[in-house]
Amino acid sequence: MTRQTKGGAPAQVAPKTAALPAAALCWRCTADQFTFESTEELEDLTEVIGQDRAVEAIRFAIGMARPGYNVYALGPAGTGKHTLVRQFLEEHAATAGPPDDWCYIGNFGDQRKPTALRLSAGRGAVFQADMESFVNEVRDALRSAFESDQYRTARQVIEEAFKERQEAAMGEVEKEAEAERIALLRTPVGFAFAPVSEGRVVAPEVFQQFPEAERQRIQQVIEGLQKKLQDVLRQTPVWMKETREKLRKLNNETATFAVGHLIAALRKRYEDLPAVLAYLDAVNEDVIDNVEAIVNAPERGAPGAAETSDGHPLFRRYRVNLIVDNQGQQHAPVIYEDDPNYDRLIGRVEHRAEMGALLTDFHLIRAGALHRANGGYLMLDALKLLTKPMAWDGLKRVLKAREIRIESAMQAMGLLSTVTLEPEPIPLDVKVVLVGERLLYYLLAELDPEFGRLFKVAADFDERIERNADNSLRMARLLATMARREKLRPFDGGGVARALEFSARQAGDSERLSTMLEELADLLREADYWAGVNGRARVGKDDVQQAVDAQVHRLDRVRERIQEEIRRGTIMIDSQGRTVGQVNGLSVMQLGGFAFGRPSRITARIRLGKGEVIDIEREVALGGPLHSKGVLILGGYLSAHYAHERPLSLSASLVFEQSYGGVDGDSASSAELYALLSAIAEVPIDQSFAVTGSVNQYGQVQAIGGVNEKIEGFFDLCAARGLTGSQGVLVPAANVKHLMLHRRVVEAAEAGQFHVYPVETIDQGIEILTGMPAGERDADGRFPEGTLNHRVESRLIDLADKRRAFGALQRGEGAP
Amino acid sequence: MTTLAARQLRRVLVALDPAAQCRAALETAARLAAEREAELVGIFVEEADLLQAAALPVTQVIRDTDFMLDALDPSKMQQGLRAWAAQARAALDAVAARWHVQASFRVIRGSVGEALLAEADGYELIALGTVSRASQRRRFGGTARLIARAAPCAVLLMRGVQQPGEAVVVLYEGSEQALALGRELADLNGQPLSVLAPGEALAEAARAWLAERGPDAKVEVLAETAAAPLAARLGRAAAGIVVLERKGKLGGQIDVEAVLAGPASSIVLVG
Repeated sequence: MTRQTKGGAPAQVAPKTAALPAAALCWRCTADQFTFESTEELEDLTEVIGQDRAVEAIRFAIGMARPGYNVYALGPAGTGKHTLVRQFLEEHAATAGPPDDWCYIGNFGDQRKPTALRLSAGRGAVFQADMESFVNEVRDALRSAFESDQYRTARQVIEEAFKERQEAAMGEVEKEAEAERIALLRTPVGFAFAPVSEGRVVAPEVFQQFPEAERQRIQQVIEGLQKKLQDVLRQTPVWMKETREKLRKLNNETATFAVGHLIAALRKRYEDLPAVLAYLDAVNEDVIDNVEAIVNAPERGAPGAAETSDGHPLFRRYRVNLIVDNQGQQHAPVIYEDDPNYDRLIGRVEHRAEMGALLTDFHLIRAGALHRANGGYLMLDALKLLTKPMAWDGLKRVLKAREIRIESAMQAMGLLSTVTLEPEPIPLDVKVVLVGERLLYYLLAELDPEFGRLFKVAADFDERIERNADNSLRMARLLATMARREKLRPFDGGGVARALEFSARQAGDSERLSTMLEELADLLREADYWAGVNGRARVGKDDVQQAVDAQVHRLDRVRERIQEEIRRGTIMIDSQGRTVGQVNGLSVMQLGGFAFGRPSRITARIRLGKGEVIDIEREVALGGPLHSKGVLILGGYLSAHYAHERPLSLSASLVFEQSYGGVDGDSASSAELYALLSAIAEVPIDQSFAVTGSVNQYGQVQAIGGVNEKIEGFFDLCAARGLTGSQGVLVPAANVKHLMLHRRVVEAAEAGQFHVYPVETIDQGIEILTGMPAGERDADGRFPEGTLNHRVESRLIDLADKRRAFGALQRGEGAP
Repeated sequence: MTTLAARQLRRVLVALDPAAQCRAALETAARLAAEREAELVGIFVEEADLLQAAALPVTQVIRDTDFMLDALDPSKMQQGLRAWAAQARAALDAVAARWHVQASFRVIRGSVGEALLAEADGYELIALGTVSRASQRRRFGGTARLIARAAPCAVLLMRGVQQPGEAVVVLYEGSEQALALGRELADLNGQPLSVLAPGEALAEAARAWLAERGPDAKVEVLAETAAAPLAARLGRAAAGIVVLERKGKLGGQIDVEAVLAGPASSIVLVG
């Protein structure tokens, strides 16, 4: 249903603004613009297109060997940031040698703090193998030494010396006792002396029959013997200690001799590395300290051999945990960590379950991406990094300290009090490149004061480049390179041309080409697929077009449903007839990676009021701030443009009809103003038109986004209903350069069936929409009669008068 | 007199004592009993002298723990001896269970040597540990000498645990029992067997016996047969177990204690 014209139909005049010629609606690229027949003739493109700023930044950062000159490569996804950054890093890494290897070795002084050991690239693995051989040989060497006759004899001499010393001392007491006919007895609780007769202890009753003097003598003798034996026994622990010391000395000498040649051979191999020599000395000392345990350690697999999967704990301590192995590497590393969680970044200390307890040692220290990238470059995805708990904080801590200290996230937060390892930190020399969206960069820069100090270089990737002959040819070469790399069919000139059009459409600008290479690569692959389906050896423009159409078709279910409901009248949009206070606005819906235009009916109603323009969308919290701003500008335009000597005395309401979701952006503000002017002037608007564009307080129509999708949205509706030849869309003149419309629109324009009007001012637009001249103020400052502006101003003056009269009536002043 | 021959070991007596050497004797006796499916009888002797001494008014004990003097009385001594006996029984039970041997345990009272000899009839082997500490030599050394001299059967005296590599040395004077027991003991611990014979004829007989029954053994003819140097020679050669024929011309002369004072840790007397 439409509201019909009030106050008679205005005089119809031809609009001053002409529709755009069809050629202006889209940049057409044709095969004859190229000098090649197919991409087979084109050389590979080695340079980067359109990213001079980013390339310069990356080169600068690579060359800047100072702390904090890490890089944030920012730009939309699909611009080839990752590929380009990696390419540059690898190029530069190829000019540098491989970094050193890193090992963790046992710290025999404090096992909680394993020692980090640095060796030149490749020597880590050799050292690890050498220590493995040492472990395999040391037990046999020690056992041979400790089972030798020489050792046994020497040990027996020491032990016998102790026994003889003890026996001599006790024998002396015993001999003295024997002389007094006293026996030394071993009882369950200790030693005792008792008088004997004929080799037997004297019976108590016999003893009682001894003379008193004899009994006392015996008692005195026994007391003396007891004292002497006590002295001997008290000396025994001292002698035992001395014996132990002698045995220990013997063991040390034996072990030193047995292990000495093993250690000496190792020392010779690593004589240029003081740290390794110090470690070997410590190993030597530790082996000697633990020689008995080593010799007596059960064989592997024997009962009671408390072994881990890596062997007996006694021998694990001499093995080497090689955490960074650059053996075979020719260049500095370029590492991309796909899953940059805290542990994978910083490294971790693992634990193994043993008898219900979690145990660890330095062999369970695992390297993180920073270890692997040390001496080279580390690439990380910024979003992934920021969404992993503690990973960002961990990275910053490491970069600030310039050393990798492996500690768990719980330790880093100070929440862990369990005893665990504290591996010695490893010095860090790495260039980190974060790759991510611009928004993340700006948020980090704004919210994290450390970000700027640690990531001093921003490599800003542009998503589009100027379209000129040179860039078009470079894009064609890029396309040829991609096709060859991906083993696609060659593209003929038409195929390349169509792909470039696609690129311009992706850029949303007929004067630009998109650098969103991922989308272009997808198109090439899909076009190649369709060429295969169509049985073609080369990919032509039809294949590319089919790929584009298929992409759209796969995604445009929602668009089709909306168009369908408009045609069925569920969503009320007129595409012909004339109605007061009603205009077709255009909005863009973005669903996933697919955007399309949707016509919306915008209506305006006015009444006597206090000069307010009510945005119903805002009132119900469906309008965003930009939309509200656009509506408020309308009030400013009305007040300044019409009857500025009188108060604006209307109350207007504006609404997006049948809009149930949020509305934002100011691209409908010109449409809202047209509806408002129509309602005030009571002049109908031709519903054959749809409108887009924002407006400022001076009535100038300003550029908006998504112009192509919006035009196509209204065109599709009109086409479905049948083009009348008078239908069209009003777009800001500033958007003409952005036009990259679909062929079906261009073809309709060529046939005069559809029109696109570039509009610079509201006056231009309202003339097209109403068919009535807008009118300019004459020398007296009045709009000429018969113009729309005159009608608007007259109505506003009328409303102002009514309001004044109404006000007087309310105050009791009677009729004016 | 009962003789020990292959498959004729039916009962083995082991003297139990808290000393560690007793454990070695017990272990060896149990393994021999297990090999021959013989019965193992453990005897603990409550030494009468200790009970007598505890009743004397002049006797005190120097405690093991702190070397201080403490009063001694018969009841305390009795308690201590019971504790020793309990330990001995536990050790016997454990070893018997480990080697699946039928074992029994008894406590008797008296002088150790005499009490064991009184019990020895009906056994083919007496096993006991001996010690070298001077303080105990009188008691156990005397016991070992008495048993070695007067036992009506074979005697195993052990001073320590056998080490791999130590040889079993048989002084062969014609007794197959000596060869059989030597071979048995060598098998138990995987020790090499060595035979010393006073004369080529005996050496040849030993070779023939071993060739028939195995294992490979080194058989040597003794050049020196005087008792003292022979004891020293056995000590040097063995460093393990020495098997002597008690009634042999040479074996009967050899001072057991002199052999045990050398590197040899154990001695077996047969015949």
